[in-house]
Amino acid sequence: MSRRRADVTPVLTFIPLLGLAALCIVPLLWLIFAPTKTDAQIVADAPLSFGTLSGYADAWGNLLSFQDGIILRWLWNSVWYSSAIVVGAVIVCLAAGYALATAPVPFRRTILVVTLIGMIVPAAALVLPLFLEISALGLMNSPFAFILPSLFFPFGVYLAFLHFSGNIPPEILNAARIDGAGEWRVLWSVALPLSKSLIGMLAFFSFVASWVNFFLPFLVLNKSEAYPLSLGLQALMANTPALNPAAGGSFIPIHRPEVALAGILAIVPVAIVFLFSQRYLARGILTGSIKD
Amino acid sequence: MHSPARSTRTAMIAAALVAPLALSACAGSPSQEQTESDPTAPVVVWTDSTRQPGFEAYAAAHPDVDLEITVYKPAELISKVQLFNASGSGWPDVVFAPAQGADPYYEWAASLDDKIDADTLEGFGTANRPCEFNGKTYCLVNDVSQMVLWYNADLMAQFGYEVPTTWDEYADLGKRVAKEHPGYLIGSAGSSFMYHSFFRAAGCPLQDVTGENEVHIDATDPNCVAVAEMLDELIAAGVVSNLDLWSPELTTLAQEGKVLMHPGASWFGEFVFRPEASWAFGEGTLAAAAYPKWSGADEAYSANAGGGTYIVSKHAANLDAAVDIATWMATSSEYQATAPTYPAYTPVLGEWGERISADPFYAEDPMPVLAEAVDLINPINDYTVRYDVETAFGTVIVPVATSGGSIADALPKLQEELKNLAQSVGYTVVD
Amino acid sequence: MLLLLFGIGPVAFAFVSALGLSDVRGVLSPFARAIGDFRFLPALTNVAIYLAISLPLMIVGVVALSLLVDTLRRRWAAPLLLVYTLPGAITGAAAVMLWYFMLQPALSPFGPALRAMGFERGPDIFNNSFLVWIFALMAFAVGFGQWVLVVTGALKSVSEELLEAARIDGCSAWQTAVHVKLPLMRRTLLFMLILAFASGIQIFVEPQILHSVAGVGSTSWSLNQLGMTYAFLNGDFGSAAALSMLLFAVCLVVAVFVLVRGRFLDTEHEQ
Repeated sequence: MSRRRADVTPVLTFIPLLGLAALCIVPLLWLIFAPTKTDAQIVADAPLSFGTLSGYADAWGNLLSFQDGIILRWLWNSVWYSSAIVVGAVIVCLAAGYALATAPVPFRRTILVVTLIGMIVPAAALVLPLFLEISALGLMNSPFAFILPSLFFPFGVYLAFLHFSGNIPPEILNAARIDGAGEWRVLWSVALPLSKSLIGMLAFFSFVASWVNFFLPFLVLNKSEAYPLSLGLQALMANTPALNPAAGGSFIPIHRPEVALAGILAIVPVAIVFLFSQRYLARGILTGSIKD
Repeated sequence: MHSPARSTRTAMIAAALVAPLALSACAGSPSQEQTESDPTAPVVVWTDSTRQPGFEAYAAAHPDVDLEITVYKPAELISKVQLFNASGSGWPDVVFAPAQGADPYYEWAASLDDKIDADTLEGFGTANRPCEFNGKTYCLVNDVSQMVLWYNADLMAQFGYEVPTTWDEYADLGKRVAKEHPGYLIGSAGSSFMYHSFFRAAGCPLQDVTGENEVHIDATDPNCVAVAEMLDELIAAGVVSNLDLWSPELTTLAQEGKVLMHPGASWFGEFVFRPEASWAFGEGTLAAAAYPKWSGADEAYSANAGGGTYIVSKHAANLDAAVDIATWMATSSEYQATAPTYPAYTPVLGEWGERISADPFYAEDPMPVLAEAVDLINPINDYTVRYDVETAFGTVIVPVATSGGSIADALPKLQEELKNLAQSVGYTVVD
Repeated sequence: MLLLLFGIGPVAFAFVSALGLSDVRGVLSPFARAIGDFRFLPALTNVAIYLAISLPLMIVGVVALSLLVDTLRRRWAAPLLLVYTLPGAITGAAAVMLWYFMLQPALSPFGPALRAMGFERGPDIFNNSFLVWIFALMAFAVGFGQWVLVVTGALKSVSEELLEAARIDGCSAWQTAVHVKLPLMRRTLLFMLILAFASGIQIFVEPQILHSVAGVGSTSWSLNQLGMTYAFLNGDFGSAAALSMLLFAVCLVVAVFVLVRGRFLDTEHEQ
């Protein structure tokens, strides 16, 4: 391979990559600038123009005026639902993945296949069974109606299985067992310290999944005080002239700048969590499947 | 969305943490209709945010009734009712919703004829028709969106045009405008709203209820063809725009003052013509005229583009209070006089109209025209059906119109779509 | 460890209950109703065309991007990956509004580009004949970042010695990518293919969003939407479950085919 060629390659690589990055960023910039403008300016001014900083404060004030600041309640709900789901789902996935990978669980192959299958079941099949169960359990409108079902996370179980079966040498675990450690102790003191990147990934994916989940809360939560942000924002949109001027009869001061601000609010936590877990994510998700 | 995170959607499967219980739920018997009203039971209210202050005012005035108010998305009501029906519990007691939700087909709304006195019901005139199914009343209409011919009074005077009183005159005026003042618009037909403003008003039978679960649909009826041909001709002449009513392009044209007139609902004045971000008409330019008369029709009919309604659940524990709340919302002047939309209940109209009549935004008081139009809703399409004609227009007609095709040629396809839709929700279709 | 069994119950139960539900009116009639519906064939056609466009776009796009990103140093790759993942975080109300504005030539920051492609007005784009392309684009925008993340992660584990060996053997960067890296990514790509196919055939969010915001398409454009329509509009949960089962069966067949043909479950590698 010639030297000259090696110098050209990075440039050729960078152009498409940066171009695509620009395509990803432009809509975000638009979203970030939108609340600085008035509704009329969003339509009339250049798409990527900046209004005034006080636009954020105005838009925030208007959002808070919707039902006495219920958006704060939704935000708080989302935070604690998602936190509970992340903690719960990580524990469940670790335990299940570890058991599948290391213990002589009966029907292991079947269970694994079923877990994989769990990732491709269409949602429409589950609407009624899910609803009837939650209803029969008396959990309707309770946060647990959302949290408990979210704890089962087949993608995470599969990731954990790949990790424990591929990345952790069985000799280490066996050594611990010979030293007299119980199965839980082996998991806790030997396997887990070797699984930080796995935990990072599980946390990230379960957080994103629960934060943006709309369908499940839609099915089981019927009180606005119990809504997470995803559901609340949809109710807010449907009830304001923001995107639907035909919803005649509303004088609520929520228009496109306010919706944009609400959208930013919904994205920021995902971006933050991503930044925190990125160093784990970059390590690779399916490394196990390649090495085994 | 091909993403790993997406796969977690299926995490819902986990419903299953307690699988066997669900089976017992299937076997559970649905709860019976309430026969006795429990005055201490709380009343669960679902509303949109616009009606929320009304319910709160009721709660403040009636401290003995315990209201639990949730702001929801009214379009979701039927989905939820289907789920509640399946599980036999969970229904809200009073809702603000489209009239469709009251259809006895969904076995949920309480019939109100024996619960509300006849005088009150009469106060609605014909405006409560969307709530009548098989001759019985299942809900109370909150507001009417009758059509009027909105026009720019300054421009009309400047051009020296008379406001048309028939659709033939409207079409003739369109041809004059095309010649004398090209670029000016007398309407638009690029969104599914054209169903209401043109086809529904003209009596084109697309939701003509003829009996219990029986509906007459004929998109190739002469009434339909006449309207379609008129629109095709005016669109070709460039005086009726085929842009979406809410599109930025039409908004820009309107802001440049190119809208000479536009047939539209009663709420267009406040929500289309007035806002800065919308068509931004200047003070004292907008006026309303009676809807033009369709050739062959006995009256100058318009259509009701659909208002909200109050529905009471027949499962409500505190049924008396639930009925009282719904009645109060729909008929009391305490609430209706302050409501932003045109009230269906006539006795409160005088008080409601004072603000509009005094508003300098209008070139002349639109109230007399609005009040007249409300009694002239074309009865052919005024009863509620379970399929959505507007959506069908969006699927079949709008793409044809916006891409410059012939609306008249697309009518047979509309017929097929509507017939299929109606049958899928349990109607017998009469051609 | 029994915890796991709780995890399995659900999946099995979903099937039993979905099928059990259809038992109420005879096992076959919900299937017949679901397939016989007038919206079924158009939805099936839509989804088939969508898959034909979306799957190659996704697979080729992600592989190409991953190979490119893999040649960068970590310092550069990390921020790029973050940026690629961000569009996937925009959901719900904000996504609806954002897509509407991005695709309206008069309002979009991409307006000049859209006009250059001949889209002068909103209706030129929001047109039934472009819908599949728009949906494929939306799905790609939302999903590609996470997949590039996954695949570049997999590429990281390709050992340095192997790459060095390839270099010594005189492979160009292109040859290394095709002959060394691609085969090593096989499992990851197969995994992606299965999930992308499953989510593609179950496409729901994109047509739903575009219908609600621009009024194009319909609420039964895709098969999954149709299933929701059966359940929620018609109250026919049996047909909804039947349709879902059909979708699921197709996914399963494809998954098994890919796994067997792709020797996914093999434990030895033959390079």
